[in-house]
Amino acid sequence: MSDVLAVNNLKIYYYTRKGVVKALDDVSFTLKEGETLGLVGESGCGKTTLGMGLLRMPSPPGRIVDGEIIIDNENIVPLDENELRKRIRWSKISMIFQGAMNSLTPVYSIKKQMLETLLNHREMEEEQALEIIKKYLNYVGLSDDVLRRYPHELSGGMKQRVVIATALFLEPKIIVADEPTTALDVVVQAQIINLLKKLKHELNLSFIFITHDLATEAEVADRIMVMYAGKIAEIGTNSQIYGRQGPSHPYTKGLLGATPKLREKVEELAFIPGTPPDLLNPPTGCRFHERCPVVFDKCSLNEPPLREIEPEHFVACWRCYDE
Amino acid sequence: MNDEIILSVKNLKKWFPLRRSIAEVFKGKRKWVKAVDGISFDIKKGEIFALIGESGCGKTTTGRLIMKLEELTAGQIIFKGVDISSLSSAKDIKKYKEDVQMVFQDPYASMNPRFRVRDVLYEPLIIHEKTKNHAEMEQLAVKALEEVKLTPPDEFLDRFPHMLSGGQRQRVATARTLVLSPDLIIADEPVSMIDLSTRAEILHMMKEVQERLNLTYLYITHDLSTARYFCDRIAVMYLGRIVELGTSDEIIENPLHPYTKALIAAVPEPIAGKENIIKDIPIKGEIPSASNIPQGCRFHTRCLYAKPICYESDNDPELEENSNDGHYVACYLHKEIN
Repeated sequence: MSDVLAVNNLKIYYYTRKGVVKALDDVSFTLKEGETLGLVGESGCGKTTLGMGLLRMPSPPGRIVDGEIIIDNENIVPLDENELRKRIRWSKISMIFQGAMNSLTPVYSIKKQMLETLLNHREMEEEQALEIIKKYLNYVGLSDDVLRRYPHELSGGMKQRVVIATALFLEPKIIVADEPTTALDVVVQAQIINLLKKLKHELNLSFIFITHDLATEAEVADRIMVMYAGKIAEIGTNSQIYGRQGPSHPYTKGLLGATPKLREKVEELAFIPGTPPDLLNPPTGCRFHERCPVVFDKCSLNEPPLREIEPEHFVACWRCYDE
Repeated sequence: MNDEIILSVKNLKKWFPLRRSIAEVFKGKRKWVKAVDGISFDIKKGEIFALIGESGCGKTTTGRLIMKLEELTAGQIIFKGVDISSLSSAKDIKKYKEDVQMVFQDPYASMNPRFRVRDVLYEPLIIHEKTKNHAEMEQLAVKALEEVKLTPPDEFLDRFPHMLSGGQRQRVATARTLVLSPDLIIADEPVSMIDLSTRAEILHMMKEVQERLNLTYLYITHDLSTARYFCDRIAVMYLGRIVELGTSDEIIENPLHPYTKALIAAVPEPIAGKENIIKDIPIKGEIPSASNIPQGCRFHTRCLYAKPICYESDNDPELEENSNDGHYVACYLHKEIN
């Protein structure tokens, strides 16, 4: 499988009045064709910053400071905004936003907002555009009937499906889905996840699936990337993270221990003491060392690099490799 | 835990009127959103009782009715033997609100940003005229902070909410309920806005406080996984009715109602090897509007087992005990499908 996306040493900083927040600090990874890469972490770990950054639209006052985002052998970081909009954004990489149900305009009909998106990017007749829109609405399990409706007439799940169809109809190969199911009820959530999996196979899409919930991630992601305080803590395959052997990084272990399992009776849930660090003044050494149960002297002094400890399994923790 | 019942809800209803057109006004037609439509349950002293359901099922309205933040349409809420609708004097209502306290979902919105933690904790003491003595107030506040493990308390007393993390705020919200030494705490999604790594810590703290002070909780949530860990008994709600009620283990391991089965099937789990499987969720369609509730069993439009009895009968099925085991289900066909 070839890589559809490569991120090299990406840094996104927020320039606030209080100082520079290093929300994403030197992050590198790849996304293979047809795979779902799960991106997990607590709020403030940089996962949404990364997602928005991949479309080169970090929310202000954030800026891409350094690094490369390579899509189809082309680094999109130096491209100018016009070209980016014309060729890359939405046509090669698109996004399903967090709280997608709120990303529809309440005053436009679904038809109007979907047409607007499509006609803005492609020159075509309205009729032709409508055909495309209908095709994708059917893909996501909606009838043409929703075109006449306004967002408030649709349920949360239906709105989410409209947003997914909108993310798809310029035929991008990469979709960044930022918490696409978080605000939905559990049944609808499972239905949307089924839909995304189906689309992935039918259209050969690659997903970056961002969520804070390790349980949801287990059901969708081929590989899982765990972030902590703007850095990658661990990357592993689904079976490396959720299999019998379990994850390697103490943070991933802690998160997994804190995830309640419905079908297993647990007397006591584990938790990670403390709170994530302030990224204005991140701790020295390993950013997790203040909360880590297996911390030792080296952790507060030197930052652990992300190293491959077995094929496809990368960890940034001094406990996980010799030296 | 003993069998003393602290709160008893009987055939509780809350219907919100809908706006009508002129024609409907003249015809005398009324339309309602039946948010809570005839539910009954008992909570025993010292237990943690969960109300579970999807958004719009009426679980939060039930909590607000018990808290007397809404007026009920019909039914009874009996707290320690007294029907709370009969409380008429301001004094009695105040006393009731001292015994029953609430922890809200959003720790960012439920606290005045201009209040220090000290003021947050003093406020209930002042409103309920517990004491006017500042030294005494501080003593009570410090004790409450110690209960919720915000130590050393002195360090937190003079902080503003923005200087606290989400988890710490929810601890303060719990401490705020504890200063009045309540008997029943209604916790409406207390951890859903808190980061996963600290969520368990908060639940753990709440459980510890509950055991130490012999409190009773009504835990309102959409999250079956935390409910199983946290609660003794669970009531599952669908569109304003309780469809199943039993001990947490029974509900999760041996669900009887088709809706509960679907909910459980839909819950994701952190287990390897499911990334390519399309999950089978035994439910169809979408949730109907609470202003237009289906005839008969209100779940029949989504049920995979529905038969004529389910949609031809005039009423919803009543909750009935499965086999003398404290496990109740409201389904016409539960004997057939289980």
